[in-house]
Amino acid sequence: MKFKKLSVVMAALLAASSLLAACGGKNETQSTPEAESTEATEQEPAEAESEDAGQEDAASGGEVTLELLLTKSEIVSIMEEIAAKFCEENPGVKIDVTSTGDGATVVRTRAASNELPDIMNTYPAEDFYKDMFRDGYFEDITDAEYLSKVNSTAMEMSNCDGNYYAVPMSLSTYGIYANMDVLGANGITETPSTWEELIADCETLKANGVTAFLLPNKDVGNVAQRFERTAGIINNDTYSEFKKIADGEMEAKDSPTLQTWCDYNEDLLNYTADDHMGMDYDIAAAEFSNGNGGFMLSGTWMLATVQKNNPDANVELFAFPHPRGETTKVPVNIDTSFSISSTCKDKEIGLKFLEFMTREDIAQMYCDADGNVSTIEGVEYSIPQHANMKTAVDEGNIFLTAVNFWPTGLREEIRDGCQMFLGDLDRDAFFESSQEAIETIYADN
Amino acid sequence: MGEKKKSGRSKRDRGRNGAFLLFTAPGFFLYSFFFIMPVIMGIYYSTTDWDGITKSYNFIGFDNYLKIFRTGQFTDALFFTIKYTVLLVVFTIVFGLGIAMLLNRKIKGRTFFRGIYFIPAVLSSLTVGLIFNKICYYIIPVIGKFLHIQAISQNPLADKNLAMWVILFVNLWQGLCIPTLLFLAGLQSVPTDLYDGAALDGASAWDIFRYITVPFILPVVSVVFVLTLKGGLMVFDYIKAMTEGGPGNTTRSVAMLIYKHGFTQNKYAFAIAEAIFMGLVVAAISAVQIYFTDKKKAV
Repeated sequence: MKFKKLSVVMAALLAASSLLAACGGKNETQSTPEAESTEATEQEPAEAESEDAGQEDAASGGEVTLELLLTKSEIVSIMEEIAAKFCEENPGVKIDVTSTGDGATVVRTRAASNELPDIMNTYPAEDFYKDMFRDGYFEDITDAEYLSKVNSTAMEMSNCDGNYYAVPMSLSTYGIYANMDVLGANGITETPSTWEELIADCETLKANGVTAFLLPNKDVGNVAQRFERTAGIINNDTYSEFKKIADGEMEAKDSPTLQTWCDYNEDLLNYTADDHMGMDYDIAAAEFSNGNGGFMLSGTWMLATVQKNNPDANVELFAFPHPRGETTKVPVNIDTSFSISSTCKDKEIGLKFLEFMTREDIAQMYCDADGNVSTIEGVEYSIPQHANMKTAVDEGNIFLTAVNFWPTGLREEIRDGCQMFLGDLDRDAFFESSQEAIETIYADN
Repeated sequence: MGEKKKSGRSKRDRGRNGAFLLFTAPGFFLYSFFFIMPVIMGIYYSTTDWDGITKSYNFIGFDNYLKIFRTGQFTDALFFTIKYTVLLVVFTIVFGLGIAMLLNRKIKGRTFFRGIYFIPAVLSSLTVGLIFNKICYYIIPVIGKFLHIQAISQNPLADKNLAMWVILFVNLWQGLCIPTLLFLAGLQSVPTDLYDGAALDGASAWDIFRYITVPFILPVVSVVFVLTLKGGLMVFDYIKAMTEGGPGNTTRSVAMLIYKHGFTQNKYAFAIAEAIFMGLVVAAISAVQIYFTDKKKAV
């Protein structure tokens, strides 16, 4: 009887532990064809090669293989080209380009198992990476000479307690993409500069039976990003406003930013596709690229996708006009930056690669393919689709986007309520969920 | 003489026990290292404020456990998970058994159909989820509009009342294969002479099913029940691929919530605490299930 009871308890614990054990994250990266030096030998170094062994190999003319992990799938092909060029100039070096669509998860799991890639793209302005910098996961490159080639605004944004751990290559800007062919076919020749003009253009498109605004509301990640970027445009200092909510000095329903966010979305939902709640980002981007929509909210990184979907697409990115008619500033974020991990197999080669990335011709090559505004001195930004954004950056009419200031996890906590609002337009429920999300996250941080 | 025999036996028993121990040891150590150890480490981390990245963290006792019910998120996710699991278990047993009984009949192309029904099992659940994600956007609304069915004239995954049913359908479409196979094997183990005898005695089809088929396949039902229960309580892949828990949080399972807290909000220790709590819930459910299964066997 006792044994029977014990076996019931043991079996129950077993079932429970299988659930716990199943909670570990998967670490899936896609390995793309390697960029290899033409002079590289066939010799394959072992996976778990030590740093010293790597240096020894390079010194003795052997082959060093460094992994370059990219968390931005759209830059994989250009980085393969650049890596191949680097290998050509550095015989005996092999750069293995890998990529993942789920950057934070992969980086977290690899850091936990002490298997960070040798080189990778980081986001130095984000808290997640700043914590990793402080913990010594990445090499401190504060004294590197080539950092002097980087634009001072970008350097300021990537500063971590007075030190630098990444080379910022580009700044992403966020706004509204306009499909100029669609607009032109409906008699609209210029992108709107005020909210009223935007709504008037949407009216024109709607009257002509065209989907004016593509809003991929099924994609909760996109909803979160749209909320964060546009809330920042409405109020450049949302951190303080939300802090008041967290401290009980204000209620979410009285927040001017949250109210304006609801107002403008209510406006735009009049001009979007019927099935906007069922639309993913990829689908919306494809529809937009192929002329099935006039406007779409996104950042400079979307150009590569648009051109891939339709090389002839005639698009233009312009600043999101302030819905209350106040001055509009463009949200920017440090986009691609490169860092080398402290476990890099050959730090000398890793640092050389970072320097290589800041070389004018390489930075130009990268900038032309990436589409984001380059931060490297001497690089000409000649992407006509983003001319408005370049002007905003040059004039300093920008602000570092809110995600870098918000307490960790706020964007992911608030997004469910945002998505529900876009589906049912229930303001009370939205304010209630926002109140709870803000209070919870501010209390946790 | 008797004593001699006894000591001889105990010596032999000791030798046999030693061999048993030797054979058990590798499994025991592997299981302990890869299973028990992570669970113990998980329990330890759940009492800290570790964010999954930083090398330093503080011991905070049971704060994470107390925070689980601070908002309604966990309760909502738990309620969804249990509802989903109950539906999944019921439908799996009913449809799995139904299909198995059809496939057990002497119909034309029986082997072909048996093969066809098994195909979804070889696909990964994430792939199936992504495929149905596209079907729901590109195909279902077209059919809905053609048939003038308002509810499916738009992507059903975007409808908070339909999304769970679509996920359940996809889960069943793929998940029925193995249970059906198990049921089929169970049905084939029923001696045919019992059916013949019952038919001669004039038993109805329902009586034959109730008094002959069911008792024979009861152990299989029990296995399917446990497997499906586990699958339902841990559902993640389909939801991640199809709705990411949306619209809003209407299809968010506990596993999705744990993922959200651990991997998107850096609340790693808190996520582990939630996982352990969920583990206890699963343990309780399993204990009840095992108790009843044992009781049934005793009868």
